[in-house]
Amino acid sequence: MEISTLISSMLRLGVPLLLAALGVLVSAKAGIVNMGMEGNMLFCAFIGALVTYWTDMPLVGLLAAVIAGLLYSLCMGVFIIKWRGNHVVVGLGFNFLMIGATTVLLKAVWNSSGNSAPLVRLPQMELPWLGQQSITLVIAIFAVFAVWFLLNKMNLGFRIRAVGEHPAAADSVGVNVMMYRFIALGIAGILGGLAGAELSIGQMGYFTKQMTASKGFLAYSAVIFAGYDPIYVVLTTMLLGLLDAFQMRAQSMFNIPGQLLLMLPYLVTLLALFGVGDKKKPKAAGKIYVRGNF
Amino acid sequence: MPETMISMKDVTIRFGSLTANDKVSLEVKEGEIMSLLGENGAGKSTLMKILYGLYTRESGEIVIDGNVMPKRYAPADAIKLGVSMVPQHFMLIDSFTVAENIVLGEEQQISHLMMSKEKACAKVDSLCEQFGIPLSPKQIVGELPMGTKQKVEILKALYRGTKVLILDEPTTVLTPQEVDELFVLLRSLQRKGITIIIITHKLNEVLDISDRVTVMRLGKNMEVLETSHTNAQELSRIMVGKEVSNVYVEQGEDEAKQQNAVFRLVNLHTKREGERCNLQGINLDLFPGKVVGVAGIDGNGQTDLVEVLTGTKALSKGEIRTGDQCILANTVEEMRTLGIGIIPEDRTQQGLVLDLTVRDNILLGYKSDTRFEKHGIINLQSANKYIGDLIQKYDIRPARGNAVCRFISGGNQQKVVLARELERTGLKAVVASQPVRGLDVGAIQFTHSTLLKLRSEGMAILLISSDLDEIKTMSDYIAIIRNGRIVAFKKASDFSKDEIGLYMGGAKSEEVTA
Repeated sequence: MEISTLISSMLRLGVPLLLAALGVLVSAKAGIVNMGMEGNMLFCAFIGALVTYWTDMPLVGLLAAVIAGLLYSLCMGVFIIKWRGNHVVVGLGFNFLMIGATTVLLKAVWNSSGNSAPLVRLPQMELPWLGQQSITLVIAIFAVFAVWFLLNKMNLGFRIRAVGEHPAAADSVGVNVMMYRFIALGIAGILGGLAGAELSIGQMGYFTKQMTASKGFLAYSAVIFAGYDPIYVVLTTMLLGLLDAFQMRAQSMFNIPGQLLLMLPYLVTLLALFGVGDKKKPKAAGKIYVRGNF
Repeated sequence: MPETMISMKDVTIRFGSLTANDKVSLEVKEGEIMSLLGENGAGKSTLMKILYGLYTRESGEIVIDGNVMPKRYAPADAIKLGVSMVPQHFMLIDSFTVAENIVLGEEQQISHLMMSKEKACAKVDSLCEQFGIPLSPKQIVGELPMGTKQKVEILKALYRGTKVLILDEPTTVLTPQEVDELFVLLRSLQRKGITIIIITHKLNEVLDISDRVTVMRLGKNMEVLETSHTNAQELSRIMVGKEVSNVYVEQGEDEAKQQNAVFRLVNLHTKREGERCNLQGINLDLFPGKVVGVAGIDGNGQTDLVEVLTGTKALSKGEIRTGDQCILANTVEEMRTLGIGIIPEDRTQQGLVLDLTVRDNILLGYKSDTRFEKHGIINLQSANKYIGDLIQKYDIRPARGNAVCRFISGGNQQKVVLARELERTGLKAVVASQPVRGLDVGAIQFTHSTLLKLRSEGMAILLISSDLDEIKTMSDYIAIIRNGRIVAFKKASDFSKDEIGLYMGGAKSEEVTA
């Protein structure tokens, strides 16, 4: 029974990470260092909560979160792709913007500096062995295959990869670098929207200030750790989810300061990245492409 | 009589004050191999970039396969008419397979959204068979040798139904065996009716492969010749132009050989990095009061030679001898204490920190000079005085030490470099790489006369330039560099310009051990 609850919470903690990581992966394949995923999730967690609060219909909230994610990432795309901003700086800037914006709006809407009002949650499933899971689990499983199919079987994914590896080469055969980068970033935004909504209206049933707690960055490391492969991303995000679940259990079981245990997933990420490195990184990741002579 | 495939008439293009193409004409018949021959900067690549739609001409007419081209058109338009270009630096994605690289942009599809790798491979296989190119479509491009990568590029063009293939310096990155293979392939493409234009500066290649040759010099058409009716001497003469007599340097008797060389470069080798030519056994002596000019086509090891003497590139073999010292492992610090001043090829990248002031740029490299520094603190007073003197001596304008280098003219930037490198104490030799490239006439004069003044004061000077006129007018001795070796070394007066051209182009060579 102990194992079952551990797996159950691993899934709950791992699913938002998985969705965010898939988003990071798709944008990375197009050559974008998506440091704004953290803000993407936070913003969408908030919008999901807000729309659910207004309508009492969590599925509408989910849809709103997805649209918010799309808009957020396209905005970031204007800075990164169109105006050729530094990916990391723009991403971090967007993150800070979202921390501030959600905190202010939390106060404005619910007059609280901590939590929103309790909300109706997304439909939950009671599964044998896996415990209670929201429908986002199904979406996430579907998303894994969709992303794999996109990158390996579809024209769109092929061109996204080409643009991330060698934009000048893609440009020279008539592939519109800017357009495919926007599309990839848009897909990342949608996936980040799902991840954010899962946090607020999927699991907790309310929005908490800064509830993403660096999950956007963890998602990035999970992608690097997985060598930019959508199938391996499932394993790495679930490993991080398991560690998170374990530290929660351990807090109640052992007499170890909770703060130390909270470090666990982050520490493992750090060590893993130290060991693995970033060898499979798309060649043009983070590089600004300016069309020139060849 | 074959039809005219490409016709360019009186095409002119200017970049600022430079007229890169001055009423250039080119006519290529269907199914012929045409060489476009000329030195670096003669305007060959520019002309082809105009044809391909990358640059827009100012005037002149272009007709491709019977279509009169509008003034402004994009590469996509040229591609549609069957013109394609194999660039000097390949546009291939290393992590993709051969087939993926070839079909990118025009994928083989199963449905509207899904691509088919099987169809792509089959298509590539059939193209390979049709044109006799041995390639395996599933190989990863990054693992292929340069020659094979080039074939992938050519196949990429053929996949798009090209009729005219432009190759930009196709042999620079190839081994001699790969060159042979390429020429065999080009001839077989020609038999299949493909028109080929080769941009090159190598005389042998022109004679080997082409039916006709158009020679360009300084942005102008010189001549169009049937390859079968010409020879290397004639082409070289047309390519480099008339003799230029030695105007600056009065010829002394041959006493230098008896003098002791200040620096002896013995059998210098460097490791090859990427596509850049490495040193493969340079032997060269520098004599006090003499200018040794190194002539050669860009990319034949000049960059490595300068970097070795600067100390930024390590020697893999060989040694630098001076006095009783013998240097095997060269560091920047060491080369500087030996007394070598470097005027680098690219003053904005290697010569100066553009965002620092004139004063700070001159002080760079004086960090252990006790005149300006004590216990890590700069003596601003003496530094300012010193720099004020230099600004006057070298006539740097504006005459302010706190002017930021980015905002002063190229000529003045070069003067800052000269002031720093030539005023060092204990200077024994100066290495000047392309010292007047991109400068105006006045700055050229200043730089040359500064170098010649040093020469008369007994300094050893190594001048590296791709400008033959500069080499001829400045040098006492001329060394010709090709493929990382010195292929000829003689007194400047013993060289005719034809001869230099022949050595540079590789039509003539002798192993030199100075």
